[in-house]
Amino acid sequence: MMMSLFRPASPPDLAILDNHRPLIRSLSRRGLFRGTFSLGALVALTGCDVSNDASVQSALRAVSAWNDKVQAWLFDPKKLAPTYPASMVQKPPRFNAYYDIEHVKPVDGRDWKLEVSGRVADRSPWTIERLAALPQYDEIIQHICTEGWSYIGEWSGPRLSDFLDRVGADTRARYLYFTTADDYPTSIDMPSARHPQTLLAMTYARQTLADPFGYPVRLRTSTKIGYKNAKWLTSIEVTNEYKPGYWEKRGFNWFNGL
Amino acid sequence: MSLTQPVPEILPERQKPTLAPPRARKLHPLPIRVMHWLNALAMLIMIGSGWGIYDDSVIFHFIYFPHWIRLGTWAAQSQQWHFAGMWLLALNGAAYLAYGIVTGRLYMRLLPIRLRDLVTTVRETVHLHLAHEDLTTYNAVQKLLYIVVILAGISQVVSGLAIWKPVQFSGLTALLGGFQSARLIHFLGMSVIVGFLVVHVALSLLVPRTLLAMLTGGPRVGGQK
Amino acid sequence: MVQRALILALLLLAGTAHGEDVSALQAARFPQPVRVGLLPGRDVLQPIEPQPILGHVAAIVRQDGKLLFVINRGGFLGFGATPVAVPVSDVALLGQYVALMGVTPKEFARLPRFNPSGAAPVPPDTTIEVGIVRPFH
Repeated sequence: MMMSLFRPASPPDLAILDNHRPLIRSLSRRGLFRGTFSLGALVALTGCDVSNDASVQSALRAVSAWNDKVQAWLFDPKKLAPTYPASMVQKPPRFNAYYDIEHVKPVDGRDWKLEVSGRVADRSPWTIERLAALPQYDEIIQHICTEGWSYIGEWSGPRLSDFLDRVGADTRARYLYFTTADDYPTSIDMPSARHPQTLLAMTYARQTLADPFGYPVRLRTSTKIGYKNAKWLTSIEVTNEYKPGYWEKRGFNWFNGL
Repeated sequence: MSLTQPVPEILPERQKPTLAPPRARKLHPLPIRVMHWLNALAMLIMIGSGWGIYDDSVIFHFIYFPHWIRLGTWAAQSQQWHFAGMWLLALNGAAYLAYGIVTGRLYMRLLPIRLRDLVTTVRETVHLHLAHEDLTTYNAVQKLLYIVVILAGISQVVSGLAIWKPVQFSGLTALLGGFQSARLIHFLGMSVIVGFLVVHVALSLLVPRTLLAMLTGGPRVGGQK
Repeated sequence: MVQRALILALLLLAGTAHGEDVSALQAARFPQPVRVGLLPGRDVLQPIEPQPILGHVAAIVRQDGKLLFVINRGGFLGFGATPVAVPVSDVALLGQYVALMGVTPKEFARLPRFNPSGAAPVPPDTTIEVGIVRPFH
């Protein structure tokens, strides 16, 4: 019973409270509370209207850009991703693209060249043979897709950091921008590009990359989500200009480091 | 009531020139109420967007959340919500725990729990004897539920970090059994929290004074208690 | 006895090597080599989101010159499933899963019980070619 300066000299007849109970009950059930907890309100909170509002969208993208900074701060260039035994390598690997398998357009390796541009000393293009002549590294790592599935795969090829050194890249530049034969550009930060497990992969499970998996060269990182690892590379640019990749333009996070 | 009746004892007390005892705190001080509702919002965002992310590649093929309860029209949007909401959840949650530890509130409200009390309270709840005359003491079931949801929330943050950074926090992810295992733990933690929410919301609606208390502060908790 | 087994093995290998089972649909899916021994037990999925499970791979067999996936359809925890057969060109690999591509779920439900007469299981170390697909959304 609540204390009050206006407490009556003697307590009122309890029968008075009985008269008031329906009023109190109805007060607490008024829309004031019902609106907050009804399923209708929850649907309104979680439905399309909230998500597709323009200002909500730009706020969410701003947070994503902030998360890029946080992730860059969290990234340890010396931390290696876990590696696995050869028995765990998935064969064949899992396929994904922004189109169906039937639309994969194989690249003819005989007249393919990897173009180089931007803040580099040597802009001459690279053939398969020239890339194969660089020191080759093999790694068995986990590929993680943003959708949630993952698999263990084995890739080998030259290190991207070795390649960047050979072309005299400006290692203080901020971004690497890749274009591909299937119009699927991607860009990564320089520290991730120079990570020892970032390869220009040319093989899978010690066999030449098959057509659906990016022949002749794909980007293979151990520290980026699946969609950053572009297949069928056609050019590399070293740049200070931020250029979003295919999925970033559609709302996915740019840094997306593992 | 007659105005000529003698005035009861209480009035002389009020006129005594002694220091009045300090006004006792409300059951739910303002910081608690603010953090409670921020947490409710954060949880709805995380669960709704989490369901959207789950649907993109289901763990259990018989569990698929319909689009109208998901937050985010498709995977990219659900992820945007999830990676934004995580800041609200984590910062507000940390503030709540810090507040609870520093003020002693967590200990006072949630501990100790005796198994005997727990059994009695469960039995009473099942028979719908929801004793809520006194909002200021949590019964054993309440204490257990709140402890469980706090632990589940912490588990979600930990497993969430393991999923988000399986290389940078590879030790943590390995501790949870690997990436897919961490994903499963994250899903199970969500299930626990959703279960809590159903019970929590239902009970607060059955005893609306508790809801009112979380909005306006509720009764004052005296020093004598 | 050994000679007969060797001839049989050679015939099997010859059959797989030249893709006699590869229909145009399968060919368009960039068939990839897969070791037969890895396939039994794998979930068979319906190719729509959220990829419901229709059954599990029981065995890979050759029957009447055709390479078939024998799938245990339905059932619960391994009980009450019916083995049915689909040609290899009607399935595709999706990571650890097998997607049922050329057969609708209704058609799949109506497939008759697999008749094993004349069917020879393909040895587990054999490599066969199966088309691949991307996840279904």
